[in-house]
Amino acid sequence: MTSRFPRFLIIGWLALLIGGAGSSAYGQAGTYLSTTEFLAEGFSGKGTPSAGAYTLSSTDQAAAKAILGHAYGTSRLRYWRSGDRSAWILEEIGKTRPITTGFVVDGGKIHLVRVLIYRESHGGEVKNKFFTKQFDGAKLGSAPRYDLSRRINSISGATLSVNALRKLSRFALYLDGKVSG
Amino acid sequence: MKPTKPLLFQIGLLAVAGIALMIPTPQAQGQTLEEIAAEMRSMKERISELETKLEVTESKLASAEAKAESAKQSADTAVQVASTASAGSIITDEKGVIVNGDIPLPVIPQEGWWNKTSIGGYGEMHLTLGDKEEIDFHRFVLFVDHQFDDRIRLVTELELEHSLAGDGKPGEVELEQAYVEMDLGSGYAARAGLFLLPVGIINEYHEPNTFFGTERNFVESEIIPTTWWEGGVGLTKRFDNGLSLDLSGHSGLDVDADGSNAFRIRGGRQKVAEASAGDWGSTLNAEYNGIPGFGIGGSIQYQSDLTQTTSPESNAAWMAETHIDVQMGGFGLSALYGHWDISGATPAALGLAEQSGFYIEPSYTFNTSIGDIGFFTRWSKLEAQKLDSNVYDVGMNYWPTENVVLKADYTRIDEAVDQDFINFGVGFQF
Repeated sequence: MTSRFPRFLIIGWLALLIGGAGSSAYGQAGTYLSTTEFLAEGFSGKGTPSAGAYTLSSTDQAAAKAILGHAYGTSRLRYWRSGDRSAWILEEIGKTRPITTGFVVDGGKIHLVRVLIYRESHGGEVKNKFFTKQFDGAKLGSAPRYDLSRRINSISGATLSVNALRKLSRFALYLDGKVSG
Repeated sequence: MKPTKPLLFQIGLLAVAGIALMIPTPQAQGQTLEEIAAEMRSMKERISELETKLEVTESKLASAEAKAESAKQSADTAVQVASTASAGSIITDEKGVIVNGDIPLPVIPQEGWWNKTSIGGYGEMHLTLGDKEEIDFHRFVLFVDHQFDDRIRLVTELELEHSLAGDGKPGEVELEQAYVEMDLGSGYAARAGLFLLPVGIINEYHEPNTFFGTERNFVESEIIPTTWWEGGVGLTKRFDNGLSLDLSGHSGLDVDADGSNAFRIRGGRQKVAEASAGDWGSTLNAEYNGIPGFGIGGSIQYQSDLTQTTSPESNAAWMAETHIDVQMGGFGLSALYGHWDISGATPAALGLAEQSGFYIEPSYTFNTSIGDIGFFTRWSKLEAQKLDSNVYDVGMNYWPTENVVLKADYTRIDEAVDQDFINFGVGFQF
């Protein structure tokens, strides 16, 4: 039997490679932003932030369970602060791998969301600004639900990654409330 | 460097003993000069041995001290390197003091397979009442993924269908995914192995908590034979405006050319189990997700012979589908149209040369204090080998938490089939 591997498949691959070469694109997994770049963007015009460490208390971990569905994986978090603005770098699993995401909170509202490291094989669209800008201005509701004040629309095929960022944004707002209070 | 005290003590004792022997004593007076000389030679040899040992000891001690000094210098260098590294992301306080090098970022440790391998899974159980009365743990799936390095990963999915597998049992153990994917840079990723074809809405993403309805819709069962996987290679390109393109070459379907399942698309899945590879398929998929809450996409597939040349005629086939998936606030809308065009006299004679179907599914989900509750309705119309009917669904999903769902819905299959079902389901993902 002769194998009839379609020739146009090869032609199509070549067209995809040639046509897409050099265009603006991204892979799924990878490091997209360094801590320095994230902080520079987050505190632009706000001067140099000071760094601090925040130790999660049992009350905080109870809030983490309400927001994330589980206690946060580490008990000590680094954060940066300048005036009313704080920045947090947090991680949550989408489908099987953690998504490292930076959040800047200003006056109790989300100011900036950036995905620093994305490790999943699907759902990388959450790193795009067209998605993350939905969080801008979102505030945190009260306990015990800690809802976001606005609805974040999902991305088809990226539901689990979207859910991870929704949860982390709420936790970042919660943490900001603790150090700003 | 000083000799150790016990060694000095021994040397001193021997020296004193030697001097004492040289003094003529009443006992010595009884010895011959030759005996005294022999003893002195023996003492000299003993002293010589001890001096040699002393030199060896001093040499070893010097070597140990040199090593200790070297280790200290290495440690100092390491501290300097660490200090320089943390200074790469310098944040200072008001006094200009670097303050951000003391607490590590929450990054994943890269050493050890246990840090590079992750597991997950999902499952769902269904209860059907009405024209069919059955309870079935429909599927339990385990994911095991492994990250070989920053660019290369393994994705696997193993499924137990219908709870019990084996000879004469209703279920199967199936390998649904097992492929290696490599990031090539510039937005490209290549994969090889056994993978889910990128067609339709739920073929790739079908965890029970991500779709409405206890059972998957009929269009994405009979027209797009979800869950549909093949073995082959693929290339994906993702643009940062939300557009992605995917092209894959893969094993094909092998549908029956006659009998009750003749040209039934779903019946042609070979599941990459010692599958015929004479006639390959190729699939081109495009998806646009550049607007949050709005996704649109489509796929085209070609296979040179849908029967893998087992019939005397050629049954080349084209499949095309397009879909939208909208989720704006609480409002949702999913819709899909799929169509097969199969060449050859036999499918034409059977009225199966063209098979198609579409569905439209509006929904609304409320956030409540006890979780999310969503209501949906769906109208499906199929002209397929097994089902040539309108199908209507209406029901609800309740998510007490996002990864657990309870479902209840009613299904009506019209026309010749004329069946009604009430379905209940519980699903989870972890």
